[in-house]
Amino acid sequence: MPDLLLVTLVSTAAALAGAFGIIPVLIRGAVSPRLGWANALAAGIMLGVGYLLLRQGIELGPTAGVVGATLGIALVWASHWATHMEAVDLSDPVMVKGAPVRDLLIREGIHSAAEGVAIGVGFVIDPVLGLLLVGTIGLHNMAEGAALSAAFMARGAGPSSAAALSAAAMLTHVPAAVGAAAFIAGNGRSWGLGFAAGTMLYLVFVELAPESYRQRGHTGIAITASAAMSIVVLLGVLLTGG
Amino acid sequence: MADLSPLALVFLAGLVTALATGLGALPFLFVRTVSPKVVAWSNAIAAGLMLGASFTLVVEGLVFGAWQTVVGANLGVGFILLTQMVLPEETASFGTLKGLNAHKALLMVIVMTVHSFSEGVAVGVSFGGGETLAALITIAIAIHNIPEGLAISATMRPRGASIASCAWWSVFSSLPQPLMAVPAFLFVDAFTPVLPYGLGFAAGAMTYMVFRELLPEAYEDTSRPAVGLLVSLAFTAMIGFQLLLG
Repeated sequence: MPDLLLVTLVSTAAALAGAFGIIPVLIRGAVSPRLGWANALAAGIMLGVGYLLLRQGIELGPTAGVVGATLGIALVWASHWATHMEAVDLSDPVMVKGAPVRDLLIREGIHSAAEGVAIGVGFVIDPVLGLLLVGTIGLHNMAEGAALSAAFMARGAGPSSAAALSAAAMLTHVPAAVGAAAFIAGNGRSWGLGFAAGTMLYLVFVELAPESYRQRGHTGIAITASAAMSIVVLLGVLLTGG
Repeated sequence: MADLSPLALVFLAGLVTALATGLGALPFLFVRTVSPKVVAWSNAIAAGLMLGASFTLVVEGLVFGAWQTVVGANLGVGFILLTQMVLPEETASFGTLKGLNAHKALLMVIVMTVHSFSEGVAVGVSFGGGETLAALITIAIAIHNIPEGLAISATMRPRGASIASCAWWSVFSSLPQPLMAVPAFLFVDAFTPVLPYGLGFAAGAMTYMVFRELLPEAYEDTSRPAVGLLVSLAFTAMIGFQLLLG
């Protein structure tokens, strides 16, 4: 059985990191496009981890791994479609200013739940992989927290409530991480690995990658994402022995 | 096959795998209208297939040397950065393609051809392990090349290249496989140390190409959910396919 208390603590910590996004907003008075680097880094790392999980899942059970991944992709796609969230883009200042607070919270809740699955599964596979994911997602949460806090403040929220609301929306990390860790530890390992990989892949290509392209130039993003991805695959293969 | 010398066998095996790449152009016989959306979808599918293929190259490289693979990957990224600077965008022409379309299609063929060099070496080195597996390895690599031909055709066809030209350039991109397999088979000891650099180089070049060229263009002309679905599904299919073959 994985240490579910540890998974609860670290996934909560990653969500709370989102509150620190308020700091650059208070200092600069606006969201810096530099935050695109954090998103590109997260995209590369999550893609690398997604690959490792998918590979392990398919090796354990080919059909379950592939079907699990397809279900993961389909579930995030369907939850965006059902809530009309596919158009909410946190990297677009005009869009973020116009979107209702409710939409921003739903969008962040779905997004963070998918990331939570990755954290939970990562910890079961290897604690080092889990910590790497928590660190990356925490950093990426600061970037998202900055965009969210700026939007909430533009609607009259004070700095502390804007920061608290941003972090609160990310707390869906916790149930998703704990649930995924418990599921993986049971009989459904290849399904769970595939599912987690699918949610991460879709999230990278529907949100992280396009948002970082918008915030930074194509070349820088390409280098950052490729580098992050290769490092993770390298680490992962070395850690898990292939 | 008993009458063939091992050398001819390795070359033939490489040639069969190269020809199989041309099959990747076939699905485009059934796609008639080529709107900007179809280009974007094709880019997204090519991106997923290429990302999947480059991950596998990295993992193969690690078997022969981790640091060499990393050095190779960085050289691969540098190589494409340089090629982009050297290739003129406006005045480029490639087959019947002109300008920016030719630039992108040419870049794609260069990247995939470079990657075949390393794969060819990998084939030759693994044949050195024993001839009994030869037929099996050949079939596996031939099938594995089809989606790579699909990736090339998906970039060229929507930009106006003919099916025959898509098929030819797909085969061309894999010709280094037989050419490199033979010397690698003959001089396994000399080629083995270079292999991780080559595999890393190919993976770096392909990944950078995906993030720099294919993905941004896909996002421009279609919705993000469509790109997300196509890239993730193509990626999953490629990994599943390769693991089942390998």
